[in-house]
Amino acid sequence: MPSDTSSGNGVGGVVAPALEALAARLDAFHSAVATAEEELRSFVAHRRGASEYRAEQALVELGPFAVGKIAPDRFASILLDLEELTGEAEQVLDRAEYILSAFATERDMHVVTVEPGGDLRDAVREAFTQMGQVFGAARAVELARAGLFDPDQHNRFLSALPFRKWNRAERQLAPPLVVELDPDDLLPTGLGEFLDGQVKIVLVVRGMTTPAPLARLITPGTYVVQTADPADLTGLAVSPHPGIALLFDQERSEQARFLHDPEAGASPWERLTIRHLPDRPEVGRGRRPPRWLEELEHLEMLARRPSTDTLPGTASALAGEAGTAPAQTAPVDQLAAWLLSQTNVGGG
Amino acid sequence: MKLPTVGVETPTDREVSVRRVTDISVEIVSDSGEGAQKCGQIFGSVSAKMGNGVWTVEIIPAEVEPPPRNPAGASGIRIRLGDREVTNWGDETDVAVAFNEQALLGRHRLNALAPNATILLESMWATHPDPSVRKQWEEAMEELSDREYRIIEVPMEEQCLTVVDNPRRGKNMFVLGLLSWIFDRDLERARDQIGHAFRGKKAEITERNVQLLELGYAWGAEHLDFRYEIGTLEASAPMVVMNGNEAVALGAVAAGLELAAMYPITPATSVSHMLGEVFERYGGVVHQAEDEIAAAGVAIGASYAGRCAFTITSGPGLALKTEFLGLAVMAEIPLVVVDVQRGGPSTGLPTKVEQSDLLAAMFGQPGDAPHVVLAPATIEECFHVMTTARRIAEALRTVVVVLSDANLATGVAPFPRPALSPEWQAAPPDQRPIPEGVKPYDWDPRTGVSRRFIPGQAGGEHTLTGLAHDERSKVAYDSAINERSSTMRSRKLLAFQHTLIAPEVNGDAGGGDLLVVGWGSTRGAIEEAVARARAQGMSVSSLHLTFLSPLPPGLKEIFGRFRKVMTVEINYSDKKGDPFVTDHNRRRGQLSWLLRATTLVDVDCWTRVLGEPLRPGRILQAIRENMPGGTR
Amino acid sequence: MSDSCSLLHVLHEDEDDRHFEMGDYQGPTARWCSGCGDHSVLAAAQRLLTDEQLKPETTVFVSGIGCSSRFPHYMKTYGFHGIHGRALPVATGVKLTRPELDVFVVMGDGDCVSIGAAHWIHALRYNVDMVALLLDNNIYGLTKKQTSPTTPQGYKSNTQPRGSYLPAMNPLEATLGVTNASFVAQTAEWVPAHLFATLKAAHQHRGFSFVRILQRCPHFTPDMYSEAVKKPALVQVLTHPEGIRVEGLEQLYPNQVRHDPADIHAARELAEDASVIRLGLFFRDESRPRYEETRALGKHTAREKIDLLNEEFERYAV
Ligand SMILES: Cc1ncc(C[n+]2csc(CCOP(=O)(O)OP(=O)(O)O)c2C)c(N)n1
Ligand code: SF4
Repeated sequence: MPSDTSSGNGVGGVVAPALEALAARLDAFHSAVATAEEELRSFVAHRRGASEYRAEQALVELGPFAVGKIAPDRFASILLDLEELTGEAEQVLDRAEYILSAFATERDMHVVTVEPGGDLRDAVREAFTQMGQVFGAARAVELARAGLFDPDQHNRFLSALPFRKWNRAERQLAPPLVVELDPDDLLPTGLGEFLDGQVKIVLVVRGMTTPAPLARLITPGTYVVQTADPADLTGLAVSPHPGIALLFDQERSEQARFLHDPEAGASPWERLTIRHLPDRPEVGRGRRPPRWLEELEHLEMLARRPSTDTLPGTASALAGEAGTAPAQTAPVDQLAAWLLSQTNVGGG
Repeated sequence: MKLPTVGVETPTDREVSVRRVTDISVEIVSDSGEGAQKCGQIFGSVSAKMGNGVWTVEIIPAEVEPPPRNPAGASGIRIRLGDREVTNWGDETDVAVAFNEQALLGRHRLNALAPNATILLESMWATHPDPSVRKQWEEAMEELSDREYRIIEVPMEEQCLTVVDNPRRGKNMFVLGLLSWIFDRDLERARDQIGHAFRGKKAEITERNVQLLELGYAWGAEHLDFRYEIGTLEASAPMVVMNGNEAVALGAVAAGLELAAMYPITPATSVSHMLGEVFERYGGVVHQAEDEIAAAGVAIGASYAGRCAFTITSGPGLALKTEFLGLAVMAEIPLVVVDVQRGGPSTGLPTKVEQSDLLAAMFGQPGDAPHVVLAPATIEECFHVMTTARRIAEALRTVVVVLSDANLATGVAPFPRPALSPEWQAAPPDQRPIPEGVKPYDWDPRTGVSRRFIPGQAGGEHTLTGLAHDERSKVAYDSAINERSSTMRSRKLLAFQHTLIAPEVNGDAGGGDLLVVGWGSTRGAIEEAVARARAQGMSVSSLHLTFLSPLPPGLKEIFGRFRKVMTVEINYSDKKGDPFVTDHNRRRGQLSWLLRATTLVDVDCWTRVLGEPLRPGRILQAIRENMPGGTR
Repeated sequence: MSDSCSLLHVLHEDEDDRHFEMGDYQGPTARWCSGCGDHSVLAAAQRLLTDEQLKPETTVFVSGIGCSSRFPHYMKTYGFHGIHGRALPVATGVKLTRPELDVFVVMGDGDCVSIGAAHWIHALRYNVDMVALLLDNNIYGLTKKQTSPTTPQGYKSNTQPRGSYLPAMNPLEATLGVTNASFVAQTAEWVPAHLFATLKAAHQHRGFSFVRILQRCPHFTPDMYSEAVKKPALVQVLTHPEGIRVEGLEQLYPNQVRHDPADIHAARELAEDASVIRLGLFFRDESRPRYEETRALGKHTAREKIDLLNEEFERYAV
């Protein structure tokens, strides 16, 4: 009973290293938020209210060296006159600053737990929607300080912002996500829609899963890894591509371990490194093979280097060169067609 | 214990006299590489921790490895202790420890030792197998005998050999032990500091050094007949202790500066060493450029791109940066330049202090290039000046030159630990689009200040140029435009001058016989001298200038209240009475030149370029000699 | 785009779906002499920006002083027209701290090869990602016909009226000798297709792309390249699938030689031999370390810096 013996080293023990491995992405996100917040604060400080306050601000900004040497009120008076904020803009900015400052330091929202029996895709969508507040707030700031904020149209930016509304730049800054869930709830194919920009998702599962649940998420532009070693996640964090990882609580011979790195080559077999492939089960005559066998077959197919003399012209189709639809004859061409159909999410 | 060969009586009965002092200087001198400086630094830190005012300053030979046992190669450190804040290195040394008689001779010849100094001298040379060494010893003793020194021979090497094989690597800690006994230092703190100094090294090394410390302490307790007792001051706030260059480096971080571009040059280099160590951990970059010109260029490029950058150098490097400084003024690019002054001109005195770059810093750029020049006066100010300089540079879109010097750079003193504020750091570059109609040099006609454009701001595309240009940054083919843009750049400085507060007179604001005016690192020494002079009944006050360009308001008025005004500076001036010198042709100290020109007051000067910080005692003498009507 | 930029600007940047036409990059009419080769370089650069759809506000042209250094004024991007010989340090400062900007440097031969020589050598070694254009007219134009380091030996100028005393300096040879140089190409402004293709390759190269552009100065040296312009046989084009490819160029310039830009030794030999004018990519190596990558500004907020600084103070605490 492998899953029982691992209880001391369960999911909880894997979440922390997973987060650690994603530190670079977390930092990028937090520092972008914090910088935005800082900028907003200084923007507001410079524009808010009476000249008295500006003198105080000048005093603080000039630092202790200037005390008794530079008159802060006079110094403030030579600074450029900045446009004063309208009350309305100020309200928007206050609210935005509140949101940004909350997100600049929070660390908990990057870990999501799917309750047993829950829906993985819903959980991820909800997490991103909540974190989307940051982007909404930033948009509100941009609008408000340009004097373009229209409450009717833009108030929605001050609440949650679903992933599908995130723009390209926002997706590049997407916060990483670690999701803990039970093996039974692991239906990752629904996650394809989130694999864009620099989104990084790590699924942390305790116990036995099917051998290659992520095989179906492999597209030319997606970084996909299944592993039991958190160190393997470093590549995911630094990859310029969207990526997803499945982190097992321990190595089991029934679970495939592989890595698909879009940077590693032009063809699937160059990009895909299979570290461990489970043995195929004996399928008794007349019995239907288990559904998950397809996952394994799919993985094997991607990893297989076709001999080009038997399949002329397939190499370029497999290389994921979009544009021409290959003839739907050989199985490998079907694969190519499927790959092409997936490229829109990859953005490779 | 050997009997003293020079000096007065022998301590035979082991009666220990304890002298109470409020202020005392100690020097440790050796060949370079013998660790005298480390010993002194630890002694200084321990003393600071015990609540003394401390100022330490390194004695650095010009060469990296001067020949051993050479008066010109004396390397070491002076530590001045006080029962209150110590602001300068003081006058002569009262207690000296010398690792050989030649290093001691070097200090003697520079008049660094008080006439009645107590000297602890390594005894091994007197009986050295090499007859030429013995001869040197004898000659040195002869030369030293013209003062009332009390020289106590200490078998340092012999003692150290009981603990280590290579005494060259141990004498310094033995001496630390000796001094710890003499000044009754807390040994526990000394052990701590040794551990700190050798952190990262093997534990045995720390242990061995602690052993040597204890050996020295015990030797002192057994053989010496004098000790000192010095009061302490109440430390009201937590303190930090560092030198001026370290303060500049940490101050740069506190000011949010992100890029330090430099080319190695003494005595500025240690700022880059320090930055290299810490700056990058804070997200800064230290760029060692191919030369000082490039360093200025990289800093200007970074600043143009919206980052806060500074460049740090010393005189010769400042000369090379000149053309770029002119560009920064012309194109209104914020830039902080730190010049850690040394003796000049040319390569001059690379390791020694001078205040000779003032006029070059102000007027060095051909063409009219108004910009800000200021000078911190203390190590604490070296830290805080960076924030102010950065803020002024950005607010005025101009160059701010910070004049530190070798005295501040190498002097170590405690100061209140800064309470850092995020507001000291600049906001990230503004990337909002430029509203239509706003021009890259939309000078506010009242102040000459204009809004800075940064690449990335849509609608702000323009080409910045060092050619004369109009508000749109278009090359001016019309001379009226040049007149107007020159006016605007000058007006910024005027507007800024208007924000400055008149400096306070130290002494009698109402006036008196003599006003001593100083700038930069001499403040501590000048104020100490003035205090002594006033205690002796002289009607003298002082005024210290931080802003040199623009000068603060009110100077002429203040000067008018005194019968005589005189600057005290570490730069060259012709001496009255020297051949050919007349009141008319006399070349004067740089600040006095400036003050005469701006106030039309007959400001005299007393300046020296001895390659060392001014001694308060010497300034006192100058005050006495220059009292109007003669108070001699 | 850099993460170190605040969220705010990133958002702003992305909101735009602008498309740029050539005219969006064109500044005021250039004031160079008519027939000056600088005009063609300007046109090629504007075409490149259009082709690559570079945003005018995130593109910076840095130059020194000289006729050629007027270049940024005629672009509608950000520009920095600095001081003689010092464009490269400025550009380095820009790119080092704002890697998301596209940086181009325009220098004359006096600017780059003479007064700025130290910076040129070191910029090659820093290998900061930017495009450096040497507009080489073999003479000082702006200051009216003085000898430059690249003036051919014997060529008369106002400072050396009996002809230049020394053999001309060969910038390609010098460049190829510098450790860590990563992209070295030569083109001529009178072969616009090649000029454009070279600029494009230079822009796409990740690292310091050095392009020497042979440039005519009809005002002071009308004869300098007139032969080469008239007789294509005097020009040899380097070809290679990895090199600069210009379709149909072989018809105009049949004198071609295959040269693999990965081969530094062959590149040096070709550069050294001055018997013919060679256009093409002499050398490219994208694997060379880039200074701005190893020296990227960190991302610390003011508060983080304060925390770190407070830690540092512990070392100095009394
Ligand atoms: C420090 C300095 N020295 C000299 C000059 C004068 N100067 C301006 S441009 C130039 C040379 C121009 O020749 P080049 O760089 O080849 O550019 P071109 O005008 O030919 O395009 C000189 C010497 C200057 N502006 N600054
Ligand atoms: S002088 Fe020569 S280089 Fe200068 S603009 Fe005229 S043709 Fe061009």
